[in-house]
Parts: sequence; structure tokens; C-alpha cells
Amino acid sequence: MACARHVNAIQELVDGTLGSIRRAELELHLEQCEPCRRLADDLARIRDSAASLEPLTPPDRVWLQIAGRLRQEGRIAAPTPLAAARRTFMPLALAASLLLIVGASLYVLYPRGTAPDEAASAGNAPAADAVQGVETEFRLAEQHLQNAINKLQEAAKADDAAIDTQIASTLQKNLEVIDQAIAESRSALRQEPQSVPARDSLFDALKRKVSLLQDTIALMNQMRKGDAAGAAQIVDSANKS
Amino acid sequence: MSRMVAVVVAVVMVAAGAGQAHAQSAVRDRTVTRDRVVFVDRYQGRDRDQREQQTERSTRTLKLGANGEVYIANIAGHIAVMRGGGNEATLEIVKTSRGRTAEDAREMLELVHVDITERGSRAEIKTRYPQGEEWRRNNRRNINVSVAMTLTAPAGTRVQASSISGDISTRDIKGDVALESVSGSVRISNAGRVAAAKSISGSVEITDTEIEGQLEASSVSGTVLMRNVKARSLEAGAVSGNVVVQDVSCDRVEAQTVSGDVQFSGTLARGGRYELSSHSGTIRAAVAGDTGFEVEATSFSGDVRSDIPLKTESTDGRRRNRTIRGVYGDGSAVLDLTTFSGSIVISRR
Amino acid sequence: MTAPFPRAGAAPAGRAAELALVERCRQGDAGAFEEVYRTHAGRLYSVACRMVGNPADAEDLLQEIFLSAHRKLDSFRGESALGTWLYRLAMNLCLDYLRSKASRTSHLTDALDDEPGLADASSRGLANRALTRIDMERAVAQLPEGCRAAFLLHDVEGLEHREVAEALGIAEGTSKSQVHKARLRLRALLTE
Repeated sequence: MACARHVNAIQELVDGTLGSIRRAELELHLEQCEPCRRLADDLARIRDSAASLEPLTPPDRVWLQIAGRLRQEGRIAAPTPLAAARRTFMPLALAASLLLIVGASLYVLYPRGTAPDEAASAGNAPAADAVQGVETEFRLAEQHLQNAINKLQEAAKADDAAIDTQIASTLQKNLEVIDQAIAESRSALRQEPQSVPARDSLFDALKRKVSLLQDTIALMNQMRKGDAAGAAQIVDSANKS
Repeated sequence: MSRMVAVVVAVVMVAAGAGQAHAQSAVRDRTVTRDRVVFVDRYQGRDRDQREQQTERSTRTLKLGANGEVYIANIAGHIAVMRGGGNEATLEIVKTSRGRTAEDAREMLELVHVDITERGSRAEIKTRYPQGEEWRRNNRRNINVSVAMTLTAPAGTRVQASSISGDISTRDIKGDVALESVSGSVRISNAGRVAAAKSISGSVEITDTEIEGQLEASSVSGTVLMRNVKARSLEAGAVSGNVVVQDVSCDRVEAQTVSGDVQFSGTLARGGRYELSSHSGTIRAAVAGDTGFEVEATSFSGDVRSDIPLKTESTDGRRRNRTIRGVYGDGSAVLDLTTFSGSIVISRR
Repeated sequence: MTAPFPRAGAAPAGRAAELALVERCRQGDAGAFEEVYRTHAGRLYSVACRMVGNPADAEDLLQEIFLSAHRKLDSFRGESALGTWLYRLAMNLCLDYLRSKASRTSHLTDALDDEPGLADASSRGLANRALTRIDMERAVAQLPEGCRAAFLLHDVEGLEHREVAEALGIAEGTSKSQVHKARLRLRALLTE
């Protein structure tokens, strides 16, 4: 059992606030006292483990809700450049609680429901700088969304055995619905490059697609985990028979 | 410390005559396991399609306390959770199997288990089918077994339930509720807090519920319905399904779908914000009551129309049919309606 | 752990910049307030999540924190760093929220009872046991609210005891004893 009279000093050692004399005394003691040494190690590990807990990221809609409320209350003036550019709110985060277990880099690059410009500014630099001109911003955002979609589609194709055929077919049909929306919006934007509805429509649809693909992959992972895929095949036949 | 208790299987039934659909014969076996009593009733008979059906029903008491937690993972079969009195919960499990013969059906029943783990005030209930590549290779038959669960629990219980092809419902449960089904429907009624309500191809309905925070519900191809709900904000979404929001009382409503329709009907909250959008579906906002609102309704190629007289700003001639910006009354609420090719109709209910 | 955001306790030069930013916010500048949000929301959300135990409530709280912050901007005078001021607001809201949920009252600091984690039963300590993130999160969630708050701010968020004391409205010595108590509790919880 660790020596009660040394516990405080051990804690301060872990805090990094122990004066040099007391520190030397304590280290001498630790060499001779195993329970105290164990305590010191454990507390240090706990402190280190705490320090390395991942910062959690709030969903982007929170800022939009805050800004919306403040605007309603008349507490803030004109909308921010970002909000003006994207008239409609973030698309619904489908299945937000499902874990996304796709390659770590992909997850970090594209947190749920985020357009990359928003993701970048959510990190460090304030959104105010790097205003390149709204058009360029959009083109870049669209490119990033499309890249995300391509990567996710590859990941989904690589493992389509995990999902029951009926469910896979539903997901596929709905992806096609979104694809059609994307195609129509793009075509409209080509005819009327300045059209805000067409542009909003395109971005909404692209984000919905990212969302649905992420959900599909998450579903695959969930099913594979419990070998529910096997069970699902069983269920499939149960439904049909 | 956890105790694994599998559902106890009782004595096999007597086979009945062949070729007739007839009443069930039953045997009740009572086994006392610690201080829990497990009743297992077995029935057998033929279902309509002239296949042999075997049913095994069991009941189990869970000592959850008034604010316990239940985690249910089912695969094929419904899950229904409703409020009961007291501090204990009662779980009824009905396994149903269908086989070519009674023997076949009985064998299959034995292959599917419901594992129940209790740890303090938390219970985990998981359905387990035979698994793995090896099993599948050696046994090419299909397991036609569904497991229906009915849980009666104290109102403060927190419930997290998922199923693949079953419907999930909770009624009068005020603890946190998180329900996810893949192809089944999700129905929540009179809840206190909803952490998740989702399905992929099933419908999702939340009714008669009052919560303090945000309410979210989504389906991919099913209908999402929120009716008689009070919350700070609502988010309802679908891809090809419709979204219906009726008689809700919230500061914010966000309803979106891609090819489905959005229907909103009810009164508006003063200062509330209502955002309805669809790509190719129709948006119908049927406003009741007399709260003033400001509306911005835009469509790229669909028709936009308001049956409610509005004070409108002058709109760009080219887009006269595609945009309405106007104010009714004191303009306190905000209606933001958007489609790409679908039409938008604002009317009085 | 490298924090992507500037540290909560900014140096004096940073304080002047903070005051200027806050002044812009007071005048209704949305971009300025968004900057405040981008800088501090991640940290505040992390703390809220771990205080109240679930992301949905933490999200609601995060909204309230910033709405409340905007309303109270007039009372920010730059005596403490903006981050610390925000942590204080956040903690008050989290504890209010927890109090309203709990059947028993919770206190900002918990009674200092017998130190757990020293007794013979856990004298083997963590030994070679791996400390996964999930183990830690679960154990932290079981800490009594008062010392959980201090632990989150000090060991997880990296504030100094002086800053924790400011954020929680307690004495610096109390912050130390709360964090120390939390560590011992965690050691006991993780050894079970």
C-alpha cells in the first residue's frame, strides 16, 4: 500500500509542480518503495491517457443554429460570407450515430456532413481569411465533395457482399435518386451559371450522396461485425420463403 | 460481473396429425433459475402455407430499477417496448420457426438463441443465429426463424434497440430512446427523449411526444412522420421517402427529402423557422392559425404558388413563377421552402 | 496531444486581440462571433460531452453556451482569457443541466472522503493493463461531477490549476485536491 504521507507529493510530481528539493527526496523514496512507485506510474499513465483523449467535434449544424437564433433575436447583423454562399442548411445527418469505420484519413478529411471548406475553417484559421471569390470556393467545394463520393463508392463496392440483397437494392435505388438530382442540378447550372437555386440544389444533392454512402459503409461494417451478414442472408431467405 | 443466461428450452411437444390446420397443443414447463422464473410454452401447428410452424414463448424478469438501461439487438422480428409499473421489466420472447416438417422446424428453433446479460441496472438482449463460414458451408439450409420481443419496462428506462428486418416501437417510455431498423419501421409514441429514430427502408413515426431538445428522424426510402410533437427543434429527412410534419410545436423545423414530398401542416410558432426542401417532390405548407410569417419559396423549374395573400416584394420577371418572397401579418415566423423541379404550394389549412 | 486551437489562457498580447474580437462581437459582427465559435467550440463540446455523457445533450448545451455567451458579452472585461471565461460559462451550464437531471444534488466540489485507490485491494494498481480510450471515457463518466469537472479541465484539456480554479469558481488548492482525487478514483475504477 502506498505511503499516505507521500501521496500528495506523488500527485504534484504528476502535475509537474513539485519543487526540485522535494522532487529529489521523492525520487529517492520511489526507488525504494514499490507501492509508491506503482502509484506514481499509474497516475502518470492516467494523466497521459487523459491528455491524449481525442477532442470531440461538434456537428456543423450547431453553428448554423446559433447564428440563426442570434439573427432572429437581432443580435447579429448580416449573415456570414459562408452562410450567404450556402443558403440552405446542412443536409440532415442520416444515421449520425453509426460509427464510420472507413480509412482513418477519409474520416478525418470528411467529417460527417461537412463540406471541405467548412471542415478546414472548423479547424484552426478563422473563416474570415482566404476569401477567394465565391465562384472558386464553390468549384473547389464541389470537387472535394465529388472526390469524397468517389472514394466512398470504391469502398462500398469493395465489400458489397456484406449487405443483404434487398437492402442493397434499396440503397442502390436511392443513390440513383440522388444521382439524378445531381445530374439535373449540374445541367441547370450549366445553362444558368448564376442561378442560386441550381447551385444550392447541386450542393445539397452532393452532400446527401456523401451522407448516404457513409451510412451504407457504416451499415456494412456493423453487419460484418456481428456476422449479421450471415444472419441477414438467413433473414433474406426467411422473408422470401 | 455478468451472468449469461440463455433462454431455457423446455420439453419437446407431441406431434399432431398431418395435413390439417388445427389448434395448438401446449405444455408449460416451469423452471426456477435463481430468483427468476422462466415460463416456456411451446406450441406447434401448421401455418397457412401448409408449412410446419413451431413457436417457443418465454418470459423473463429483468431487475432494471426505475431508470435502468436496455440494449436490444434483434435480427428478424419485431421489438415492442411499453411502459409497465414498478421497478422491474418483463421481457417476452416469441421465437417462430417454419420448416418443411415439425422436426425440421423444431431443430431450427434450437439453433437461434437470445442471449440476455444483466449487469446492475443494465440489460443486454441479443439474438444470435448460427454463424460463420464453416456453419454456412456445412449446413446449406436456410434458417427460417423470427424472434419477436415485447418488453414492458418502467417509464424511466433508457432503450436502445436495433433490428434488421423487424419493426421497433416504444410507447410511453420517457427515458432516452434510440431505435434503428434497417428494413422495419420505427414508431415512437409519448416519449421523453429521442436520441435516434432511423430506418433505411422502413417508415419512421414519432407522435404525441414532448421533449426539451432536438428531435431527429430519418429514413432513406420510408416515410418520416412527426405528429403532435413538441420540441425545441425538429429534423426529419428522407431520400426517396416523404416527410410529413403535422401539428408540431417547435422553434425550428427542418424537413428534407430528395424525390419525396414534404407536407407541413399546423400552426407556426412566433419567431419559428421552418425549412422544407425537396429536389423533385412537392412541398405543401398548410398553415393554420394566425401567426405572421415571412416566406421565401424558390424553385429552379417547378411552380411556386401561395393561396394565402402576401405582401410581396417585387420579383424578377423571369422568375415570377419560381419565386415568392412575401410577408403575412407581422412576419415573425420564417418559412424557407426550396425545390429544384418540384412545385411549392402555400395554403391555409 | 497537439491542440489545433490556441490555448485557453492566451498571453497578454493575445488578450488585447481577444478584447478587440469581443468588441466586434458586441457590435453584432457575425464573422467575429463565428471566429470565436471556431476557436473554442471543439474544446467546449468535448468537455460538455464528457460532463453530461452523451453527444445529443452536449450539442444542445453547446448551443446554449454560445447563445448565452453572446448575451453576456458585456460582462466580459478581459480579466481572464476568453477561453477561461467560456469554460466557466460552459461548466455552469453543464452542472445546472446535470443538477436538473439528477435526483440527488450535485456540488461543484465533492466532499473529500477517504481517498480510494490506496487500499490494499488495488495496490497492484493498473500493472500492465492497457488503457484504452473507451476504458478511460467510461471511467471518467463515473467520476462524481465535481472532481470530473476539475479533471476534465486539468488533465484532459490541459489547463493549469489556476485556470481551472477560475473556470470553476473555486480556490486553486481545491482544484488540486479535486484533480488528485479524480485520479485516485480513476485508478480504482480502472483496476476493477
